[in-house]
Amino acid sequence: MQNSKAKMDEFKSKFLDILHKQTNRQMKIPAMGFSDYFIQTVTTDASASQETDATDAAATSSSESNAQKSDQEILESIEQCYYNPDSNPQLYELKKVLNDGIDNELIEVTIAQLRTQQKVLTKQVLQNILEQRNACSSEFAAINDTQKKLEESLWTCQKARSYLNFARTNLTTTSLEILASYRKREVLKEVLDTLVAIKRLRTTDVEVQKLLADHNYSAAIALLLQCKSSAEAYMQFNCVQSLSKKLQETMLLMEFQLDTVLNEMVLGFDGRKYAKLQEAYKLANKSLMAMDQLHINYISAIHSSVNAVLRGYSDPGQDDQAKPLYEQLCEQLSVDKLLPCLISLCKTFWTILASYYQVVMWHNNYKLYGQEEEDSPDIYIQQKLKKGQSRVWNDILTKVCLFLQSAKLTALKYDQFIQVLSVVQRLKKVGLEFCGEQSEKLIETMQQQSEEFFRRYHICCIEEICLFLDNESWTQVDSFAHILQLPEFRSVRHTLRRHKSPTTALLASSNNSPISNNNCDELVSVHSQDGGSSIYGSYGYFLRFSEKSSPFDGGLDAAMLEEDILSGIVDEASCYFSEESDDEQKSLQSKEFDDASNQLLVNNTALNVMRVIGRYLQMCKLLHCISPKIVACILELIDFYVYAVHEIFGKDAPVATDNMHSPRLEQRLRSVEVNVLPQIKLWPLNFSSLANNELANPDTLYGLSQRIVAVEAGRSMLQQFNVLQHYLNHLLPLAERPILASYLDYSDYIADLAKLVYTCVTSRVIDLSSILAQMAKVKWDVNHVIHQHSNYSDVLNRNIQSFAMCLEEIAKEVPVPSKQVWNSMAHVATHLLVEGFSNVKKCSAGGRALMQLDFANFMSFLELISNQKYPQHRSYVDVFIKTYYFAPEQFEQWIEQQRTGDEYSLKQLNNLIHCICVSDKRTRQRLLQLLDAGIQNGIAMSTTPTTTPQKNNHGSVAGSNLSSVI
Amino acid sequence: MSETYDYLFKFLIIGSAGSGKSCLLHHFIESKFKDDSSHTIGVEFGSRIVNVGGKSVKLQIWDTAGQERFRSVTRSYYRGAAGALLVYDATSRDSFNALTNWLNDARTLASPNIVILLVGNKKDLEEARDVTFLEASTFAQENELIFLETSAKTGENVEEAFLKCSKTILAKIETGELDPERIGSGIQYGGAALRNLQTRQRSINKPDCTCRV
Repeated sequence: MQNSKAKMDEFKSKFLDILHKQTNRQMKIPAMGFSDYFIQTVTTDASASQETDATDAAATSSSESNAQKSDQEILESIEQCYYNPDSNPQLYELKKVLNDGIDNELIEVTIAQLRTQQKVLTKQVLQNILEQRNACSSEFAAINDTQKKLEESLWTCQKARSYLNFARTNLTTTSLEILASYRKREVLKEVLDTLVAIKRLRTTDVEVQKLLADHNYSAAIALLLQCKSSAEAYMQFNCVQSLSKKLQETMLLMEFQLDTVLNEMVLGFDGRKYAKLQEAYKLANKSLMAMDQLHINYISAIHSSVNAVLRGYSDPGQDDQAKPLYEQLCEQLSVDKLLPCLISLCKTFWTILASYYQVVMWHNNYKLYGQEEEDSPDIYIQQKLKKGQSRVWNDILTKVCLFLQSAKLTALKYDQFIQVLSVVQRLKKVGLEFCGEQSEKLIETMQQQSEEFFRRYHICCIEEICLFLDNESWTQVDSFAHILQLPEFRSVRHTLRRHKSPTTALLASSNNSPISNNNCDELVSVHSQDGGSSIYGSYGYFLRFSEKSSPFDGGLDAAMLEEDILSGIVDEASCYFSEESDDEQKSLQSKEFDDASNQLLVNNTALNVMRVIGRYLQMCKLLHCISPKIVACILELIDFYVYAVHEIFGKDAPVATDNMHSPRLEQRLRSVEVNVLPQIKLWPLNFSSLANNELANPDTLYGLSQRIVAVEAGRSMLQQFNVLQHYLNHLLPLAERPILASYLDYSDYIADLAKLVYTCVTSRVIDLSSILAQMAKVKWDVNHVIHQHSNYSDVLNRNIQSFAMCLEEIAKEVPVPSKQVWNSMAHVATHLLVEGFSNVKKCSAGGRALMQLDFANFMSFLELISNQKYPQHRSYVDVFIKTYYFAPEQFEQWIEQQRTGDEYSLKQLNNLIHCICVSDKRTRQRLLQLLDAGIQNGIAMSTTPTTTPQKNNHGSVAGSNLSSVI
Repeated sequence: MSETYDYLFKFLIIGSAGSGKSCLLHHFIESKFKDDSSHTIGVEFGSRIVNVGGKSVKLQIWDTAGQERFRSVTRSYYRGAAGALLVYDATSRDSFNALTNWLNDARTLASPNIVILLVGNKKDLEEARDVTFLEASTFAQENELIFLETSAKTGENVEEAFLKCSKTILAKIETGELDPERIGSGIQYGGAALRNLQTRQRSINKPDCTCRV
């Protein structure tokens, strides 16, 4: 109950407050409208007016009856000053009355006049009021009516105010809240829009990062450019400022990423990425800058990669130094790392070249700008790429040339150097395909290095041949039939077979080749022609190899070498060769050996010479420039072998053999002695395998089997070398071919050597001094013809027979070239007979017949036992014997002829003249003068010491023997 | 050939055809396997300088043909050899059975002091092995040979074979068992060794002085 009371009190207080407030407001309202004070005032005035009107009406009625005119006159007599509101009537009257002094009558008259005037005036006023009474009543009624209406209006207003106050009480707060909410909403909407924009910018950053990760650069750039303009609109916000800054950094970062990815193209081209890159650069208006940057990237990649490769192959200890130059790195490279380093360099270069090639292909296939204007950026890009090809290639070429010059190539082994040549040749072909460059600088550098290497290598090969000579047993190596059996000639097997029997057309085309002889790589231009027709020959590297592999992989083994070599053949219609299977190679081998079914007689040294020739030919194939030099060295190898055989087997004859040297053989032996021997440290050799006694052993015919193997191996070697002639002519420029031709024209080269070597045997088989002594004892001035031949003839025949028997034993070990050996025997025997016959002082016709009998006996025996005919040797002796029967004029002519011949020595001719012209002194003197004239004319015969049979001086006799040659 | 060395040893590689003699030589000199191997015709040659026990030794290695038809040619190279690698194919019983003949040739044609190393090649072809290690080792012991199994393909023990043979020769020189100056020993002095020889001769004279005192 207390709670309800409290509530009631609270309610009362609230109500009273409201009433109080309303009261206050009501009191305030009149100030805005009609206040009570104003209303009371109006009412009072109205009442006063009514009273005045009543009074005036009464006054008017009374005055009208008295004097109507006098009112009019009195009114007119009132002075004007009384109507002026500004005047002072009291002072005016005082001044008027007091103007003439104090006049009581005037004062009374004036007072009466003024009172009359006042009465009249008052009456007039009341009359006027009565006249307006109706109007005043109606006006008053109207005023009352208006007052009522005003009261109604006031009530209505009060009520309206009450209603309005109520509405205000109910709605104002709500309205304000609505307004506040609306304002808040507007503000929030604005903030929301801003936040949405900022959020979109932030999302853009994430999207840009994502697009960058996907390498979608063009979309990223477009998005960035779009958001960049959006960000500018919201720059007043701090977060947008920082975001805009971040976008700017992202743009820079993205450009950096573009450059980074562009740089990655250098070592690994990716077509899809590159397309996106180009689109991005195009959107950024940086296509041309990108192209310049790309070229800078390629050039710097070449420089940095070569240094990286070389530093990888350098010794770790050298890293302590300051960074060495590229040339210094090349010089410091150890020999065993040369070849791997070069291959690594070329692989790296291939990666760069393959990438650049793909860039060029890409720009050939796609155009960045569609329009075909003259100043289109595409044209600039094409020109830039074209120049860049040469620039990139020349930079690579410079690096390789510096490497080849700085590194110690001459210290390499043969196989390694051949691989270097292969690498260089292949690199040259890559360059030719890449930008059409012939790479003359590379070829010149490699030519210099090759000449230097080859000079040293050639000496090493000759020294190796010396080692073989030193250890040679001069035994036949079995089962050798053809040069193609040697592995060194495998790479030239196909070309040799083709060049073995060339067609006339081929020879004609070879001779009339339009290729310039000055081009040291004549095969290259032909190669270009072939390359154009077939991209799948040894060209087409950029199509056959990808960036994952390179033409320099696989160690450049023999198959690859063969491919390189075969691709250079002029007469091949197609440059493409597939590798043959082993079975095919074997069948080809057997087929080849069927062609040369005869087994060749060779020894180990000759085999090794042919192996060296095979290696030289490989080098010829890989670098054509030095082919003339290599071929010259091949000839030098053969000459050196001949010289060695001559030194070992051709100088131990017991007789002088100077006249047996043919001029050409002499020339070649001297050339070896002058040009080759000074460079060989191993010379002279010990020839330990022979140990000297073997060549002095009569049981083995003084080492005849060894001599045969030595000489016949030389013959086989030269015969096999002839197989190469057409091939070598193909290798040589036209101007150099006569050198080879003139070398091979000397077909008796080995025959001349054989003559010397076999004479060392045959001249010791025959007992020369004993037979000469016996011939001297024969009585040649007999009177009758003896029917029995002389004893010395039997001795000679026994020597021949003994030789034949030993020869049969030797033939069991080694095939004997019977023709050459027996020719040597016949030569020695017949020259011995002529020497003996020339020593005869006195001779009769019967003696001459005895000579013929002895010679016939010998010759028939020789021909019987050797199964050969010797017409030249027979004629040599017969003519000498039969000069005895010449008529004097005929004999003189014969002597005249001998002056220009070399068949008989001067001593022999001298003795002959003395013997025949024993009784005719004048003729003898004339003939001797003929011989002397021949000497004076410069046709000097070799001077031999004069001797007589009685002296028995073996050395002198042997020296004078065999002094003439066939 | 401007190389300098203390000694030059003449080496032979002998054995049946196809046992890998040329591949052994090729790997020793070139440090890689010779893929395109064909039968050797006659005799081939290779050389390399190695460092053995502080001495620089040049090995002059003659690679002989193993086929029977080349036997007469290759025999002539036995004379004057200081060392020999007697090679058989571990996957070929025939090549092992022929070792006795090769060994007799070496012992009779070369000097009696020749150092012979028995080499069982193609060790890497374990599945095709035809000669056990124990069997070959027994043969080596019976004939007083050094024994090693090698693989010219993988290079295993190839270098060791030549070095081991060289060490044995060098040891024999130092003990006086081998006289380098004797003809046919297969050993030659290089430039450096000549000076050492002269020094040694002077030191030999010293005992005479001691005897006199």
